[in-house]
Amino acid sequence: MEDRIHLRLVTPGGSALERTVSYVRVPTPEGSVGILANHAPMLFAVGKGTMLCRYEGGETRVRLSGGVGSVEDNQLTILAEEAAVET
Amino acid sequence: MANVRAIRTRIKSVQSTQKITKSMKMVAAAKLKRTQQSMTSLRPYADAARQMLQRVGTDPEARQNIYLTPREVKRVCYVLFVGNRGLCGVYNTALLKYMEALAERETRPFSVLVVGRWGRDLLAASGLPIGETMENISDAPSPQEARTLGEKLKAMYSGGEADEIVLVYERYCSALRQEPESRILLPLTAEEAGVRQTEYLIEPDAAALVAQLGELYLDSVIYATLLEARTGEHSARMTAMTAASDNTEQLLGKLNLQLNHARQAAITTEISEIVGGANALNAK
Repeated sequence: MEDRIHLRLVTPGGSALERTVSYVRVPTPEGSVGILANHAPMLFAVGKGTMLCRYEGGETRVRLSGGVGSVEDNQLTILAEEAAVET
Repeated sequence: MANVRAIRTRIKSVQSTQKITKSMKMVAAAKLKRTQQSMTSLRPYADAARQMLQRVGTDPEARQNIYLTPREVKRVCYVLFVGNRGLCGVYNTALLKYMEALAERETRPFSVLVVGRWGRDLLAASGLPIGETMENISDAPSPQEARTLGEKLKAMYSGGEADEIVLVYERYCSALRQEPESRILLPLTAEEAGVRQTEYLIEPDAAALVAQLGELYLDSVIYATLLEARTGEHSARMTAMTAASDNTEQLLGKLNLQLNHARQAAITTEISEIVGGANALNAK
């Protein structure tokens, strides 16, 4: 799958992650939400848990403490109070 | 003319004052850099939070949220962001004056919550109804510290202790200029609630989302204000300490001149005494 979603993960301390990805799985208070390219505009609450981003040649997991997110025109923005990128 | 010893002591004391002002200036500069960096890194987060709130805020369900619903104001809470220390020019006193002017105009019952360590006695003497003081905010505040303050303010608002919360702080115009300013934190204004352009899917539902988003937005505003206040304090202190260091430099120059005069005068007197003595002997 082509990497077409522009993911931006922002915390109060600055940008934690920014890259183009093909698929993102976000934890929400009511279970995980998967986001692929051309997703309908959506605003959502982000719960505590691990976010998974897939892109060509790999994937990254990020632990989130909760926040909010929005997706529109393949621009996915996640605001998290705290985020830890797992290596 | 003052004697040499007295001038030397004076020079020493001025020199040690200069050491202090210079190091205070450097410390302020280092802290200023840190808070400025935090301010820059926070901006994208704060902007995105505001945009998202504007998108979701028009939803009728979201409108029901307590933070977005103005109610009859029975009590106002002013949050006064003073510095942690003095020695920063008019930074704190200008803010206090501004707060006093606000208090004079305020017709509703109100209380003041002070954030910062500066001027406990001065504030007490000002006659402002100070409810509480938060002294444990550091010079380079972290998001956690802002959240602690945020929790308190949100609890005050939702608990009915205050129906309007106003932030009073020094706006950071530039390194050389800070201006006292106030802004209403709660309830969130119509402008913050915004207009919606696109239809969004909302997960899980508007009420829950706006509750979470509202808290996040408030925290970001409080953190931004805290950083702005501290940045202003550090740059005001840096300016004040630069001026103080320059003054000591000038004073040292003057004192050195005086010292040389005095020393020369002493030498001249001594020589003329010796010459006078020798002449007297020769004359015999």
